[in-house]
Amino acid sequence: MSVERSPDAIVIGGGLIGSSVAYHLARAGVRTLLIEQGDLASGASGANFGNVQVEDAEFGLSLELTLRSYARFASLGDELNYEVGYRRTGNLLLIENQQQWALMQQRAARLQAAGVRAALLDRDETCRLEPGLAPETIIGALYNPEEGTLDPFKLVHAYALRGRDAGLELWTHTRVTGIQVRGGRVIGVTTARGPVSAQWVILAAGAWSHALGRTAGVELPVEWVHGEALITEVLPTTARNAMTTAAFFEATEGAEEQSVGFCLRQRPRGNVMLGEAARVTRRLGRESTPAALPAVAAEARRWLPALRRAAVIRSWAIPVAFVPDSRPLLGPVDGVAGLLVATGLKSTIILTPVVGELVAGMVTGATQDPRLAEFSPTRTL
Amino acid sequence: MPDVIANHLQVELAIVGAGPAGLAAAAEASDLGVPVTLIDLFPRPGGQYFKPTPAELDGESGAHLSPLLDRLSQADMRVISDTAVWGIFPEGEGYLLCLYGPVGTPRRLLARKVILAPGAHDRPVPFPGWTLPGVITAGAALTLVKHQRLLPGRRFLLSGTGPLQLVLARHLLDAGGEVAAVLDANPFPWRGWRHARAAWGQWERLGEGWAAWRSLRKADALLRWGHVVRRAEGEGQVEQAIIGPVDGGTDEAVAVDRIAVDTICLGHGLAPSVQLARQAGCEHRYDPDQRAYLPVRDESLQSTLPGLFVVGDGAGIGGKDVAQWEGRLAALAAAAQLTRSVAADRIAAVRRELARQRRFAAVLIDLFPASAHLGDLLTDDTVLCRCEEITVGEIRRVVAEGAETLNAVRMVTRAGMGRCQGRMCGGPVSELLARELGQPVEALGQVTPRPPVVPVPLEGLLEEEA
Repeated sequence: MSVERSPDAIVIGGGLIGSSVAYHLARAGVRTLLIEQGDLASGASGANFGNVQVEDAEFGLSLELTLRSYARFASLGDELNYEVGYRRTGNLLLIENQQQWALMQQRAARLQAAGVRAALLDRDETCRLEPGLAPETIIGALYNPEEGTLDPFKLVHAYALRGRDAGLELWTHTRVTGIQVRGGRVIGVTTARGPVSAQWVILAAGAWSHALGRTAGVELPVEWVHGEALITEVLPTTARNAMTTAAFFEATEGAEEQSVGFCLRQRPRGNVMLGEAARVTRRLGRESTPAALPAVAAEARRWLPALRRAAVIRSWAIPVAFVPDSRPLLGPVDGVAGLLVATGLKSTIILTPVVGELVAGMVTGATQDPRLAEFSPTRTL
Repeated sequence: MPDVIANHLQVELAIVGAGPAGLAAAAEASDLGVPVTLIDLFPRPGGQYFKPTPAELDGESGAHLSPLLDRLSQADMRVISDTAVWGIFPEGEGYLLCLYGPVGTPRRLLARKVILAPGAHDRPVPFPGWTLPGVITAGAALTLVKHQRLLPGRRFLLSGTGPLQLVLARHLLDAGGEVAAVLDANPFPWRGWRHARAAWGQWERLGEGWAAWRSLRKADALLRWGHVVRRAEGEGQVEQAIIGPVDGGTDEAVAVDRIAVDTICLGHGLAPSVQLARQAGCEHRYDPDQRAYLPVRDESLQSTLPGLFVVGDGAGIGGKDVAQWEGRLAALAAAAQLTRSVAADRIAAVRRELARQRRFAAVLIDLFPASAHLGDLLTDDTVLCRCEEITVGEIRRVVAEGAETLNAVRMVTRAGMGRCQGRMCGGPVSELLARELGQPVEALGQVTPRPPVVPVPLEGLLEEEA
C-alpha cells in the first residue's frame, strides 16, 4: 500500500466478522485495508462447526439481530455470487435432566414469541428424528427445523473475494503490532510491514483482540477458552441435525478445569465433527492436548454409541473468545475516537452478515440505533 | 524395568518403527544396557526392507532377512507390534506417546528418550487417469508379488525412476507376469561414472541391478529413458497407457505411443513419513533435492526437541544401510543422555560407516531425482486429492481467487482434509501451487499434522480400553 494513499479504514482480523465488515465497508466506498496475521479464517472462524444457529441466542437485541441476519442466509450465495454451502438441516439442543428441561421450556416459549419455530420434543420424538442418539442419555430436546449450516472458510473467502472486487486491499500473514492513538483519536496501526495510518480502525481479532486493545490503552472484557474438537472419516448418515448439549446454558463461566460440552455436526460429505473440550486460559495456543481428545471421545460415545468404532482422522484447537455477560463487544470505544470493536459474538456465523453491515454503518454513519449501546466494548460488566 | 505409574507405562527409551533404522537403534541401545521398547505398526517387525513373507507361504522365520531381527527375543527388548503411535506430546522431561493397538496393548507410554524411525511411503505422482483401478504404486506391487505371492495384474507398465523399478520388473517376470515396458523419467545415467568412487564396494547392489536389467532384455520389455506414462485410459479399469517424453508439450507436439496394459505401477521413489515428527513439534525444512520437508537434526540426529531423535528414511531417503547406521548413531546419543558410558571410538566408527553409506545414497538421488516436469501433464479434471475428490481445476480456481498458501488452498477446497490427511496429496498440491504462483514450495507454508496422525477409532483415543 503506497504511503500517499492511506486507507480510510483498517480492519484487524480476517475471520468471519473482519471479512464481513471489510466487504461491507468496501461496498460502501470506504477505502479499506484488511490485515490478518495468518491465512484468512485461520483463527476461531475456521475452527467451528459451520452452524447457522438461532436457538442459543441471548434474548433481547441479540435475538433480534440474529433473526434479522438469519433472513439474509437464503440469498447469501446469490449476494456474493459464490457457493458457500448453505443448507437447512435443523438443530437440536439435547436435554439430559429436569433442570435443563425447565431452562429449555422457558427458552422455547420466548423463541416462539419471537416467531421462531422452536419446539420442545420428548425423548421418543427426539430419537425418531435422530435414531443414533442413546435414549438413556436424553430426556428430550429443543428443536428448530430451520437452522442450517455453511462452510465458514468459503464464506470468509467469498467476502474477501467480493470485497476485493470493490477495492478492498488484503494483507495476510501480517501481524498488527499496535493500534496508534494520539490526542484521544486513533491514527493508524503499526504492522510487521511498517506503520499504516487511517482514521478508522476496526478490531475484529477474537481472542487476540484483548492484547491489541491494550496497545490502544483499552482493557476489553474479552476472555477466551482453549477449545478442542475432532473429526471422523466419512461415515454414512449419522445425524441430520446439528446437536449441542443444553448443559451449555447451565454451565458456570470461568471454570479453569477442562470441561466437555458435547456438540456434533455431520458435514455434507459425511465426516462427523465432534466437540468440544474447553479450558479457560490466558495463553493463545493452538496445540491439541492429550487429555482433551479422549475426553471428547468419551462424551461422544455416551451420546451416540455407534460412533465408538468410527475412525478419527484429525483434531484441532483454537482460542475461542467469549464475553462473560454473553453479549458481544460491538461498537465504538469510549475515549478513543475512530476505534471500533466487533468481537466476542456468542454464535458468530449467523450474526456475520448483519454485524458486518452494522459496523460498516458505524463508519459511514448509516448505523443509527441507540440500543446498540448495550454492546459497548467499554461497558462495565 | 518398565513400570506402571498413573496408568502410564514408563520407559527409558521408546523406538517407533521396527524397520532397519529402528532395529539397529534397538540393538545398539541394548548393547549399552538400555532397555528398549520398540513400537511398530505392522504385525511382524522388519519394516519394508526386512519384510517377512507370511509363515503360511514361506514357513521360515524371517530371521534370515537380518540378524537384527534375532535380537528382538532378548529379555531387555519389548516389542509392541501392530500398534500405531498417533500422537507425541512433551511431558515433564520426556514424552507421552499415545498408542493404539490390539486388545491388551498399553494406550499411553511415558518415555524419557524417543527415537522415531517411521520410514517412508511411495511418492504419489498424479497424472490424468491415475485414479483408474489398475494404477498402483510400485511399493504396493512389490509387496503383493514378493510377500503375498499375488500378481496384481497380467500385463504391466512400470513408470517412475530409479533401480527399484528394475527390481519390481524382475519379480513380476519371475511370478509369470508380462512386463510391456519400463519407463524412467530421468535420462540414462551416463553421469554414473562420476560416482564410481562412491559406488566402489557396493557389489551386491550393483549386481542386483545388473541381473534385473538382463531379465528385462530377455523378456523383450520396452525400456525408455526420459519417458513417463502421460495418461491412463479405460472403461472402469486401465486398458491402455499413453506414454511419451517427460518434458514434452501436448500429445500432438511430442511423439506418443499407446501401450495396451491392465496394470500401471508408479515408482517415483519414496517420500519420508514425517507426520509424527511434525505433530510432535520438531522443526522441518524443505529439501529441494529430496522434494520433501525433512526434520532439522544435529550431528547426533537429535531433532529440535531435546531427547527426540529421527532416523532412517523418515528423516530423508537414504535406503536401508544409511537407515541402520543412523539408528545406531542416535542410539549412542540417547544412551549417553541416559547416562550410560559410550566409547568414543564406537561413535567415531559409526560416524565413519554412516558417511560411507551416505555417499552411495547420494549417487542414487543424483542419478534418479524426482522429476520436476510431471506437473506439465496435469489437466483441470485430474483428481489431486483422492480422499476429498478435489481436482486440479478446483485448486487453480481458488488460487486465481487469491489463495496464496498451502493452508489457504486446503481450507477453501478441503484438499488434504480427508482420511489420509495430506500424506498422499500434500506434496502434489504444494508443487501445483508453486507452479501456479511461480514460487518455491518452501514459500507456501506448511500444514502441521494434528493428532491422531493416523486414523484411530473413537474408542481407541481413550486412555483405557473400554
